[in-house]
This record gives sequence, structure tokens and C-alpha cells, in this order.
Amino acid sequence: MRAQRSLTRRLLGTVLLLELISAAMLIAAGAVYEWRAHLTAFDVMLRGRADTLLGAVSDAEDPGDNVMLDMTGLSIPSRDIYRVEDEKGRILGASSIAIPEDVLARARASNKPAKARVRNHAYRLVRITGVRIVDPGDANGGVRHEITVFYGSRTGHIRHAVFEAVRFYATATLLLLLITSVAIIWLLRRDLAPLRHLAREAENISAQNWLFSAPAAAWETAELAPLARAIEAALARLQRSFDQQRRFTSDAAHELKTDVAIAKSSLQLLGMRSRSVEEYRRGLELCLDDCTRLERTVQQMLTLARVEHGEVSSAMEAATCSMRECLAMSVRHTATFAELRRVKVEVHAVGDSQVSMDQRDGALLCSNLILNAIEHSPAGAVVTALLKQEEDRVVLSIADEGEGIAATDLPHICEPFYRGDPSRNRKSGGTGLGLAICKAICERAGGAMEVRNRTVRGAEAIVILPLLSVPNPIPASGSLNDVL
Amino acid sequence: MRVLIVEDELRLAENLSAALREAGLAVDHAADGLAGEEFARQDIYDAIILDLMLPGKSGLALLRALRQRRKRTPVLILTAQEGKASVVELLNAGADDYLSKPFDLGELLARVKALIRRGKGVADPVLRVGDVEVNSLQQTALRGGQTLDLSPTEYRILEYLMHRPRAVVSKRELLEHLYDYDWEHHSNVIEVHVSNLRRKLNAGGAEPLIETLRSRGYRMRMERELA
Repeated sequence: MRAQRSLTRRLLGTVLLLELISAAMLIAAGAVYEWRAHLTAFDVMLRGRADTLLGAVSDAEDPGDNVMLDMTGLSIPSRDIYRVEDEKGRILGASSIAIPEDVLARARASNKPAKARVRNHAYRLVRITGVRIVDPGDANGGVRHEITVFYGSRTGHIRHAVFEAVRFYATATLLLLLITSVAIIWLLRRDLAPLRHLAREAENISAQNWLFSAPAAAWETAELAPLARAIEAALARLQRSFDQQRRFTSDAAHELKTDVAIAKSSLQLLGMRSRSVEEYRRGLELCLDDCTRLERTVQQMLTLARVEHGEVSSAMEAATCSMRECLAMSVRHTATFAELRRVKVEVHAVGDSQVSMDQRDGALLCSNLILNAIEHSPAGAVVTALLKQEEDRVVLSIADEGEGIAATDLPHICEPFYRGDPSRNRKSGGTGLGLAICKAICERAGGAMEVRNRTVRGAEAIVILPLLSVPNPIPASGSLNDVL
Repeated sequence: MRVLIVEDELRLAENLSAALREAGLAVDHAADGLAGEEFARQDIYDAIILDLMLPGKSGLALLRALRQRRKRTPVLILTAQEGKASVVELLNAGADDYLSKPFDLGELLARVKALIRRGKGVADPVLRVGDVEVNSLQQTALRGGQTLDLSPTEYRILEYLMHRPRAVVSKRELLEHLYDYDWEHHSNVIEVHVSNLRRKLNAGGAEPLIETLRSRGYRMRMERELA
């Protein structure tokens, strides 16, 4: 749980981070704007006060036609600094706090307001110039005086005002973040509820209980509907294969128990009392028959297990065989049985028939199908085996002229242990696994098998296998005896 | 005693029949559910051994149909199915006993015999009527402590009559329960067997025990009547 990533947390974190970044940028921009606005207003105020001072410069009424600063009626804030001088550098008036020379020099050099530190306080200083004419009515037009006013004021309160504004923005942002996170958490919780319901529903699934129906809320959520659909589909597939497996296990157990019961009862019957040698001999023969039957059931089950789930080794993958050869061998091997049942087996083979299949499996497939066909044929009938190439496929059809398969059995005929008529198949010696083995062999080779009724009479097994494009020569070994 | 085996496994049925016959029972065999039902309906069996997985009609369906018709023949089920649930279902459907495959033949015989006894209202394998004692396990008969030397058929007649003391048992009933389906061939022989049995029972000059009721059958007399 510790290392888990939480979508909610990530989403919340991302949203809050983005919000925080934009808020920070907003605050910065706001602070800059506030600062500039305050400065502009401050400069206007400074110039205004400087102008007031300029206005206060008047004729000194002295013989030298000088000017003087008349402070009457002026109230200059005591913290402000100023200095008024005429063109000759004569100081007409100055604040009690003197403006340092270097600041004055800087102010003289530039038209822009100058920053300064006076007595440990930050000041902003403007310089304005104006002209005062003494006695303008004189013949020579009076005496011109160029007046320069330096005026400065403390800037501390601007910083304070900007800081206050920033603090307001920051507080508002924090509040906004808080509201956003609560809203996001609430929304996520509400919107993720279908996911939790889905999970709770899925939790109830077990091998015993396959029931799963996605909650309606999940179906109504566009993002969850595919998940619900996928879970339902996966479960349906799993249940099908699980049921199949369970049925197979139960059928296999039934089959084995029956065979064991027969063998055991035969032996116990023999031992119930002392018998003649002839009786023992006959009894032992029967016991051996029963054991052979048990052995065949086990053998078939193992074959099915090997074909269905066996490991695919590289040697097996590379194995190829010619269906034509397999068919021919199977027909040879079943010839005696066909003769016994007085059934004729006809083979027609055309085209290429190389398939990717172990030769043992190929022979097993053919002989199983042919034996099946012979078994269900009446005496004198013909079993037709047709092998042909259809483009990139090999098609094998084995047809009999028997009574066909009941429609109700047709869909299940290839299922392990399925028997349309249990007693009949048991008597004829089938284990009920033959067709299942054939189907598994075909599917392992990437093909398919289908059993259907012929239009006229009898049943037909159709095997479709992918044709190998490059036919590999098969070593002509006839070692198929061990297969059958 | 006559037993019906309903079992589609031919070899198993053969073995069961042989074992039951060797135990002194008459046996009929039905290979599928439908034939089994037809046989069972005749109500001539003292016990039925029923397989569950049958073609035609399942053992369970057969059992239900039988009980619905109020046939009370004891039924022993043979099953290869797992699970307690099916056992409960079987017993609820009216089965008297069950054995799962593979079973022990000796156990099966013992259970069938016990079912037959209980079906006749007797729990003890040793039957006593008057001074006659029949041990159905050892298949021996005593009268007044003396062992009687009976042929298998004579023993079976005695055992059947001992199961139903004082009741009139018709010749047909006796035949049905002692022989397999071809009992009609034995119809004349049975009289000979009964008379032999009666002779052996009366060997010591004791009271005659089996009385013949003309055109009705035979009857085993009780002690009270003997006295």
C-alpha cells in the first residue's frame, strides 16, 4: 500500500501545483503593477510639492535683483527633504535634513527620479527646474533666474502598501486553494464511487461464485464501461473453461471409478470361494480384459492431456508430416478391422498435404477418425476418406454411411466423455475420448475439426489444417506400429 | 430371494450377478433405465441394485418413479459421483442405502442381504420360527439344534417362508422370488423341492411345519399353532 500511486492524490497535487504556480505569477505581476502605480503616484506628488516650492520662489526686492524662497503659508512635511537653488548655485532654501552631495549630483545628472538613502531611510528624489524673472516690466525685460528644486520623500510606505496588497492576494489564493482541494476531493470521491462499487462487486467472485454484474453506475460511466465489459467477458470465458475442466475431471473420475469397480469386482468374485482351475483361468482372462480396458481409458486420458496441454517443445514445433502418408498408414493399420466389419475404405488424395504436426499425432488423428467411421458403418457400407489441398489449407474428410448423429448430440460430440448413447459406446469399446483427442490434435496444429451429418446418409468428420508452404521431405520410416 | 440389477456396465453387471447368485439369490439384469423401470414395476424383487448413470432414464428418476408408485422394494444405489449433496438427494428420493464405486463385493453382498432382511421386517440375520433356526449369513438351517442338510434351492425356499411366517405364499410368488426371469420352467420342480424340504424338516418325527393349502400355496406354521 505504501508504494501505491493514488490517482486522486496525483490529480489533486497537479491541480493544486498548477493553481499555486499561477497564483504566484499573479501575485508577482500584481506586486509589480502595484509598485509601479504607487511609484507613479508618488512621483506626481513629489513633482507637485516641488512645484509648490518653485511657486514659493519670489523676488527678494534687494538691489541685486535676487530671488528668495518665501515659505509663508507652505507646510512641508517634516520628514521630506528639499533644496531650492538658483542658477548660481545659491541655496534659496533647504530642509533641515540635508540632501547629501552625491545624491544631488545623481539627481542633476538625470531627469528621472533618483533613489537615495538618507539617515537610513529610503528616499525618492525629483528635480524640477523653472524660471523666475525679477522685474519683468523693466526695459531689459528683467532679470532671469533659473531655479532648480530638489524634492524628496520617504518611500517606506510604498513598500508597505505593496506588501499589504501582496499579502491580500496571497491570503485570497490560499483560501482559493483550500476551497479547490476540498471541491476536488469531494468531486473525485463522488465520481470514483462507481469504480469502488465495481471493485466490491469483483471482490465477490470466486471459483464457486462466478456471478458478476457490473453496477449500473459503472455502465453509465464512459471510462468504466469498457472495464466492466472486459471483466464480464473475461469472467464468462474463465467460467466456461473452468466448467469444462470441472466436467472433464468429474467425467474422468466417473470413468476411472467404473473401470476400477469392474476390475475389482472381477477379482473379488474370483476370490469369493475356491474354484476349479478352469474357473480360475476363465476368471483371470476376464480380469485381464477389465484391466486392459482400465489401461486404455488411462492411456486415452493421458494422450488427451498431452495433446491439449502438453509442452510445445521446439522439436515438436518443427515437426511436420504428410497427411497423405498418415492417411495411407492408418488405412493399412485399420484394414483388418474394416474387413472384420465388412466395411470398405476408399481413399482419394490429391495435392500437397504437408502440415505442421507430429507424425504420431497425424497418424492418431487419421486412424481414430477411420476407426470411428468403420464402427458406425453397417456391413457392406463404404467409408470414404478424401484428402485435398485447397489453396493454403489441407482438407481431410472422412465420411461413413451409418445412421448419422442425433441433432441433440451434434454440438457436444467432440466433448470429452460425451456419449449420445452411453451403453452402446461402452459396449463398442470407446472411451468417449477419441473425437476430443482428434479435435485437440487439429487445434494444436492451428487447424480445426468439425463433425456433421451428411446430406444423404451417415456422418462426416472434416479436418482443416494449414498447409506448410515449404514442404520438408519426410524420412520414409514406417515406424508407426507403436502409435496404433 | 430375487434381486434386480439395473446397471449399464455389462461387465460389472455380470460380476454382480455371479456374486449374488453364488450367495443364493436369484438375479435379473436390466441394462438401461427404461428396462429397469419395467422390471421393477412388477414388484417381485426383494431388493434392487441401481446404478445412477443410466442410458434411457437416470437411476434417480427411476427411483423417484418407483417410490411414486408406492413400490417399497429396498433400493441400493451404486454411484461413481462424488459429494455429500448427491447422497442426501438420493436418500431423500427414497434410496435405502448406497455404495460408491469402486466398492467391495463382500460389502455389497452384506448390504443387499441386510436390505432384504429389513425389507421383510427382520433385522437379525438369524431367523427363528418355532424350533427352526435359519442363519442367512452362513446359509445353514437347524431344527431342534440338529443341522439340516438342505440343497441350495431347499434352503432358499425355507428362508423365504421363514421371512413370512403364517402368511400364505403362493407357488407363483415362491417361484418369482427364487428364480430368475425364466422361472416358469421351474414351476413343476418347485413342488418336488418343497416336498423334499418338508421331508427333511420332519426327519426327526417332529411336527410338520410347512402346510400346503390346496390351490393357494404354502404356509409356515408358528409355534403357537404347533402346540
